[in-house]
Amino acid sequence: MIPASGIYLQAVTCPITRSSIFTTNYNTGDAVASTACKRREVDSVVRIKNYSYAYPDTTQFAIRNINLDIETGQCHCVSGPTGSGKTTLGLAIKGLLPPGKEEGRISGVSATEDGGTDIGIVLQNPEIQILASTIGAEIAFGLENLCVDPAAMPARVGEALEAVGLDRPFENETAHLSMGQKYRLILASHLVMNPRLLILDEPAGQMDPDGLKKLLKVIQALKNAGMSFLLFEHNPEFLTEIIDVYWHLDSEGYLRAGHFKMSVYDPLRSGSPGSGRLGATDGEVVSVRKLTVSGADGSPIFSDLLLRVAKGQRVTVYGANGTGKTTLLRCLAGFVQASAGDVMVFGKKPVPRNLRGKVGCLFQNPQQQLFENTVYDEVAFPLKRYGKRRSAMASKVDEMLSMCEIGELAEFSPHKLSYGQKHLVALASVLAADPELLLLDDPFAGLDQSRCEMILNLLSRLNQEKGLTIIWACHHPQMFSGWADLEFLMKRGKIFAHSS
Amino acid sequence: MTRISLKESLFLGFCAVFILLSRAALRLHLGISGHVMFSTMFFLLIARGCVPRFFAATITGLFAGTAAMALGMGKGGPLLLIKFVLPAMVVDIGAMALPFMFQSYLLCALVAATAASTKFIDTYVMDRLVSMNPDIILQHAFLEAAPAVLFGVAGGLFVPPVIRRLKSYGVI
Repeated sequence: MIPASGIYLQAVTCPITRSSIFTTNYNTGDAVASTACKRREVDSVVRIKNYSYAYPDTTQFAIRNINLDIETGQCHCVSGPTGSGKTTLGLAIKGLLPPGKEEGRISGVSATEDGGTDIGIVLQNPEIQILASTIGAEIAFGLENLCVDPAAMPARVGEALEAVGLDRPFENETAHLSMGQKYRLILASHLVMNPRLLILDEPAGQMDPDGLKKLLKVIQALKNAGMSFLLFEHNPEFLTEIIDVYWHLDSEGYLRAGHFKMSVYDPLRSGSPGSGRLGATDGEVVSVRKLTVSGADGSPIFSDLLLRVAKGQRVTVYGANGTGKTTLLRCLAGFVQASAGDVMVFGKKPVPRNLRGKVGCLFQNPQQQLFENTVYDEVAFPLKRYGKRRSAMASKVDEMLSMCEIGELAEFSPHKLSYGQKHLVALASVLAADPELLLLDDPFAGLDQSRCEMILNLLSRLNQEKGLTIIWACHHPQMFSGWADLEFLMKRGKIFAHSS
Repeated sequence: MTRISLKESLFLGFCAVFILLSRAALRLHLGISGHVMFSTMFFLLIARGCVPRFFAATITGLFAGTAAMALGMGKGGPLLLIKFVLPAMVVDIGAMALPFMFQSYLLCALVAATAASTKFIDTYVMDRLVSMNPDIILQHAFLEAAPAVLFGVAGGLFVPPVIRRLKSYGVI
């Protein structure tokens, strides 16, 4: 599909006339021919007027008095603190909110002439949007619903996969994809349907820098073709080139005109808890020699990995989506068996039962480790398991909730929180058990800058005070460069190390 | 009142199916009368707790009773319907009178006990129709109803945590 020259041409349907007349170069992001598409006028795709919404069983509005007008071909970016209601706004525009208290109106999206979809939304947690068991079927599902000729589907599916940088066979199983790859898959399954407005919830939270660069080109090309975009993004610095309008949704749920502010956290600045470090102390916590782990198809995800982590060290593992970061952490926790090589954690082969209380794991999708009815019960769960007395448990839970700044959520259901808030709850629950080794799989996804700083400071403090060993997997290398004692890069099934 | 949604209808249908399946699966020869009331009360209360409509449990009972009748489960023929609908109606009335009952173990147990006690009426009516001696009818109805009430209460006590869990996950 991609010619040797690297020029990738694709017909893009004009979202206004719904005719395939644009030929767009996804590599350069330019619309190279736009002969027939006559925009009737620069009209609104979505117009939101004084819109407020409260979830069922609550009286407090999650979002208030929202006024937003998205015109054809525009890209709007909404940022705001974790839990401020960004996803709620996206769901409201898509019409997916449960019946609750509503004021104002959302209008402007009309039925399309060819039965195409008007609005697409890619949620922060792509796993809840995946319906099919294979990549090809997942992307073709939307086309089937649009009654596209089956003969035309393979080409369109292939083009969509290529556009998002997910170069995988159609028959690959969706269950074996990493979170970042799943996000790309859902993105492709929406792009293939040519929506008039595409809403992307935290693309930078799930996609690696290369993926974001590709996304940038795709968005630019589609903007030129008249498609509109609404991004909910804490870190829009990767996407500034294509954003036309910035908004800020504050913690009260009010949407105000925003602006882009580059904010880089320096964990080593004077006075920051991150500036001090315990460094390596006596005792090896993790020892990995010639580790090879194979995927479901038998091909190695990574091979001959070497890793040594001493007690009290901070280790970060970077890598693009699908390079095996999560698999490595799961292997250290004993959830995945090595195909070859040795893994020793605290001097023994990792068996989850034997590591209980010593190793804390924070999964990339926090929903996978939340199961209690309230946030309080969730944080108290490990303490109950270890037979803590009720009074000691209460004080420990309160301490963890306040450390993670989620005290006000204690009586809320963890399953109804935002993605970022779920991460904080899962982190509080993991830390409540006072682990000696902490395995973190992309804990910043869905969190705003201040919450990221809070987590970093908290972990730095625990590292210094309690000698907590931390292994952290992440796909944005520059996020906390300099914070770790050891930094590793996973690439093409290998790990490369250097000390900072 | 708004029309019952597809999701609600499906949920009630599933509850009715589970009542029947558990009846079929629990036909254990334990020599204990009324043990099927455990699952019947559990699913009737769950149906009413998850679908906040006055007639939710009754509809479930009606579905289950009709299917049981059609499948020839039990000995009552058309009267089998009473066995399902009567306790279901009691659950609906209980839920209407006690709107917060699904958060309380005590209230769930109380309503389950009352609903399960309708076993006394079923047995009494059936025995009367076959012209049994009135003294024996009363004794038989009591012997049938007493364990049914106990099993019904046990089924009712499982409802609040399940409702809480479903609410916390946003299913209801």
